[in-house]
Amino acid sequence: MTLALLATKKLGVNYGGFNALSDVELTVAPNTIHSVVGPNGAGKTTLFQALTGRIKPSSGQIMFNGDDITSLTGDRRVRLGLARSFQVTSLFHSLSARENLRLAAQGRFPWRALKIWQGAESNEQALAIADDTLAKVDLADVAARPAEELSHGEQRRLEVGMAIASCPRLILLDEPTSGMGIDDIGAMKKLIADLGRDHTVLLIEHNMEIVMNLSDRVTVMQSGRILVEGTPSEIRDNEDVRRAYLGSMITGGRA
Amino acid sequence: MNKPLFHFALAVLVAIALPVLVPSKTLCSEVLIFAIAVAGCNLLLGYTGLLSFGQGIFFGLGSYTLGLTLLHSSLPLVVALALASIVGGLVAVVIGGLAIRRQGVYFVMLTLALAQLFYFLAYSLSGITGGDNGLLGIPRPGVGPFDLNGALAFYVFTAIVFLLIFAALQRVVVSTFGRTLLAIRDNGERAQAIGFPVRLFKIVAFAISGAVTGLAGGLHAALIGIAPLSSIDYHLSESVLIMTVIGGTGNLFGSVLGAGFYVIVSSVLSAIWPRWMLLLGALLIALTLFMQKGLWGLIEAAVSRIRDGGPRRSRSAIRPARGEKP
Ligand SMILES: Nc1ncnc2c1ncn2[C@@H]1O[C@H](COP(=O)(O)OP(=O)(O)OP(=O)(O)O)[C@@H](O)[C@H]1O
Ligand SMILES: [Mg+2]
Repeated sequence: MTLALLATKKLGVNYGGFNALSDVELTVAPNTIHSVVGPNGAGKTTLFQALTGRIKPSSGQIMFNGDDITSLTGDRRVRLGLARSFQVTSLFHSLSARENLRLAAQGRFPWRALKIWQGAESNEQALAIADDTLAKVDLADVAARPAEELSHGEQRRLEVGMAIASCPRLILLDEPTSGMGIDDIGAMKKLIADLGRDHTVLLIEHNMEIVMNLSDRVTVMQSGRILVEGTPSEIRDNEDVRRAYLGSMITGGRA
Repeated sequence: MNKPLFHFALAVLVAIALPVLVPSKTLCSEVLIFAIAVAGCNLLLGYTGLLSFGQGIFFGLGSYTLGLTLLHSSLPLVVALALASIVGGLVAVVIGGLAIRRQGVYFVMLTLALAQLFYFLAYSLSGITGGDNGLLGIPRPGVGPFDLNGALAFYVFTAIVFLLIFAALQRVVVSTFGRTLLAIRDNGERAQAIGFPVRLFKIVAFAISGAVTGLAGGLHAALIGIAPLSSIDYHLSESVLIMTVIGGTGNLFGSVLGAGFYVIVSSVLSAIWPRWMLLLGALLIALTLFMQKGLWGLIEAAVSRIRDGGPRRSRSAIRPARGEKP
């Protein structure tokens, strides 16, 4: 087996006495799409918060590309190649779509942004990445529009673009389709599939159609723990998973 | 309407028109000195989203630094001003570094508490600061061959400094750094998530703001010949914040308008009606309710109305500021 890009060991997160995450052992192989599913409140977003350094785990370890990153700050992790999108859209609302992406690209080299005398338009490398990402997420037409004036679907694509623009080795997507209408979901599915070709993707998603069709591996979480992990077809046929979901959501999306 | 060069031209116009329109040249200098301090405050409030009550600390320390330098040495005025600016910037790094450990209301409270602390320090260390009386009899040396003892001569000097600072700040706000500050203002959490060490950027913003405000404090002491205790007072922080809001946040020329409006109106009104602060209060309420982009937003709206020939207002002028984490 190839070296895991990401591995957690006995990872636990405690919110003031409440164990939101316990004993999570997750291994993500490079160049795969690995989905994390589970009912509301299972701890999926909490897992992302711990992986990206937003919150401190109360126990356990996080290994990235063979290095222990458990005690690194979030911005250090970005520089190592870890980027995320948020479940609730989180953009620079008054800045243009292009500048949002330019900033996301710049975040990889934050010290360059300390230049107080050089115009923002002089960051050619970051701008090139921004333009590239605009094309990938299909927002080139609205590049100059402030983020707050974009449609919901466009904002969700920009949200994913923010993660892409930092040129990560591992890209964490937290429910990229949340709140999307049926038309927008198709575009997002295609975007995730495209990403899977040259990135490692860790995907939280409730849309089982997307999960079952795009994932190489699926991890099912419940009450802060990993219930089971396997290929999409193994997960579909698993009795525990059916029970966890009360048979409701897991049936969709037979490819 | 929003080109930096146009705004700089407006600033030059103000600097030229002020002494023509306002009889007291000392008042003119005061307007531009406060315009500098307000622009420094705007960098924090309008561009970084930080509501700091600590501006009086930097202003006051700038005043004391200039006073002490000129009273106890024969260093030139420009050097004394540079020292005032450096002290303001360095102390701002410490104040900012402490205060940004907390967010929102707690950040504001910390800056307020630190402002009080410095006020009492200045009050207690009367051997250095002159306590209640302030530092008196600060000389005003000339610059090179120019004698600055006349009110108009000092105004010209102040105007040059003002325009230099204004241009420098304009550069800062369009720089990569300045655009990153806007991102932090919009959404600090996202800025952190994409890799920016947000605290460091806020501290640098504080340093620039403190340096600019310290310079203003130094100029003020040189203008009035004393470094009064009131220059480090909490009331000074408050006035600078009010001027920033009146002028319009997130726009440097707005700061010039805010300072001009406040300094001139308060000097006129306080002479004829001691309760003029009541009017100011009413104006502030009106501004926060209806016109969050301040005087500059009003002008912008008026211009776009004339241009379009209709009542349509620019979106940014009426959009309420989002109350996310300051
Ligand atoms: N900051 C917090 N403080 C306290 N409890 C929290 C916090 N964030 C999340 N929780 C709790 O931790 C549990 C896991 O939440 P989390 O957001 O990780 O779930 P999730 O799997 O992402 O759910 P969803 O599918 O609804 O997004 C929930 O019970 C939630 O209420
Ligand atoms: Mg979640």
